[in-house]
Amino acid sequence: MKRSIFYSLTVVFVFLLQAGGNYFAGMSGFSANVVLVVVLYFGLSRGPMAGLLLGFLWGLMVDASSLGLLGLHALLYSAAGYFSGMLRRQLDEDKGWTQVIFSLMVSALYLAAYFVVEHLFSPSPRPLRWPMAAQPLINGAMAPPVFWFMRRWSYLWNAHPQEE
Amino acid sequence: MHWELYERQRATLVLIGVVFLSVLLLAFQRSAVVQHIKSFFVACTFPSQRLFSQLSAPVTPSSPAAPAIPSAPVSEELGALPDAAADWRAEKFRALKVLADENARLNALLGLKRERWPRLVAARVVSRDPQRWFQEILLDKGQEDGLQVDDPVIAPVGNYEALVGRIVEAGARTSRVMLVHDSLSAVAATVSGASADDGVVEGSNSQDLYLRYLSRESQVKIGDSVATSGLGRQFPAGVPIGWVRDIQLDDRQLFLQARLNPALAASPLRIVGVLVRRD
Repeated sequence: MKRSIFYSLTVVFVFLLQAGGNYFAGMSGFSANVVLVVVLYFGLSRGPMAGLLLGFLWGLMVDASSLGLLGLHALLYSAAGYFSGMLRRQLDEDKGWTQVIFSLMVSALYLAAYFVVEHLFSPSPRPLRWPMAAQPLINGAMAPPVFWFMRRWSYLWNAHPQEE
Repeated sequence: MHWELYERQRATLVLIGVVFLSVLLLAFQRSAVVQHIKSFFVACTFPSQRLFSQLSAPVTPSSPAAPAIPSAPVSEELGALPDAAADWRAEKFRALKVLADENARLNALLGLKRERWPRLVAARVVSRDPQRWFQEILLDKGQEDGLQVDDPVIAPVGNYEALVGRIVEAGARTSRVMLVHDSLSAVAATVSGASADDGVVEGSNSQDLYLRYLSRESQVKIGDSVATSGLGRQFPAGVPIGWVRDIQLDDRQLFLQARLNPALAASPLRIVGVLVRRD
């Protein structure tokens, strides 16, 4: 029961954070991808299944709110969650630099995949704007605080992997 | 170890399913089933969109509340009072300015409704994705308010209105608008003034709009205003779109094309009017 509340609150809270960030970022294009970093956290700390399923759910929610193609974020977030889960044993998710570099690299791959998939399926793909290139850097920079917060939040609900 | 191997294989199978499902959603984006699924998720996420649009314009009369007086000793309180009062006045002034701005926009829309468009529905912009900034917006009105696909959308800008785009998806309580800036948008338009040439205004997924297919003999000049022509019956005639910024021959040297300064650029897009069709 407590775990269900933890996951429900996390899904809603992270989505609100992302939607709010998008809304207030405006046309500047400088926006962080909080959902992606949190999906990576869940993949690294709980394994591929958790990352995959949470990524899919958040992806559908982001697709619905971002006015883009339905399924685009769902596909990319679930793939990111799965691959971070598969690398769970190879990476030490507690190390700050690991979090920064891993988030930066996955974000860069995510951005490239986003453009490819959008150009394949969208009749009107978005143009490449240089502020978007800053997103992997922003994600990398905010990965340690996000991982730290998620860990504290998990402990608060006794939902950290060691305690589950 | 065996459990982890099983977990990995299970996750791989689920990933294949999720990828398959996502590709189906992407490939059949315009089908009725996918539209229904999308409407469901839009309905789920809509309250958060509305919340943010209201947060960015806190216009309810009760919202500019005075800050709570800190529970410090009286002497400290007296010292801090001028600052607190100044903050409160500044906050009050800001809230009043937001109210006045919104009031002016609504009044402008009301004036348009009375004078030119009797069936105009005012709607609030609740979502605008920064990565699709020049392509789409989401409105908080839908079929329940009489909005339909292809209804033209305008916005008040100063003392005139400007074309925003047209509705491309109308849900029960929300609608998606394709902006004139979208590269898929094409609007029959005419140049005002002596030349009065007809052309088509196309978007470029950026701030720029292009008036294409002008005759090479056209007398169009920099600064001429461009408005909808009403041809094609998609949009009513006479809605301003922009002003000519520069003129050049198109790639094939067959027609003139003019780059426009959009009329819409001068104003933030918060409230728009939808011209509901009489069927």
